[in-house]
Amino acid sequence: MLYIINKNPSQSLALKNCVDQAIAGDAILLIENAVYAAINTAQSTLLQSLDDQVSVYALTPDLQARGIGLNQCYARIEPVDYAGFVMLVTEHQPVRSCF
Amino acid sequence: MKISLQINASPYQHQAADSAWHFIQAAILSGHDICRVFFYHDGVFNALRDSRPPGDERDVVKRWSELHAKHGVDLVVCVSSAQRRGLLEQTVAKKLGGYQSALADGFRIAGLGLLMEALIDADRHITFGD
Repeated sequence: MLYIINKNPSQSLALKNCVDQAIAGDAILLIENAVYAAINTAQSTLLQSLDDQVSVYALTPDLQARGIGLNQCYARIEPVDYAGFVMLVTEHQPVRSCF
Repeated sequence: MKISLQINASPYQHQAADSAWHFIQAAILSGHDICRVFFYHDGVFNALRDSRPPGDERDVVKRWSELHAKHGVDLVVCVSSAQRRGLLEQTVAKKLGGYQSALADGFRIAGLGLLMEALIDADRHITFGD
């Protein structure tokens, strides 16, 4: 399963629900305002509780648009561009957009 | 791979239309078939013919029309969502007040049946918006 999240954790419980549900082999893609969840801060512990076998991606253009550098993100965050987004969609079934 | 998309949010309010458009460009470049884009809820404003953004910024509506002209992507606007918001296609517009179609070139109006058809036909369906 590929989870696509587009809201930051203070706007929506979507990411929290995905973190709770995701199992090994799943992937989470952070786009739009959800990329704020990629920032490694003392307050954001959400991704720390996620299974190591779940991959977490963040859309690079959306990180850049918000001035977020990869050095600010959790080490497990894998940056992808739109071509990578398309590849994730083709590699996973089903794909679920969570709001 | 056949991919269909659904856009639920209006442009200029939400990033959905931009995210979807960039996704489509990358998908087409990778050789995938975008079989349909379904505009639902406030997403119908993506089809607004009279939209006139400032000349120095992207023109979301025109961009969709060009996508249809260049790649033949089926752009479907939900009829109920559109009529609620006053976006009337030609025949309905004439019946109700003589105004011309509010839909930009390349868009067509239809019901949820075409959303269901896209869900069945496509290998993947991606939703953008809220």
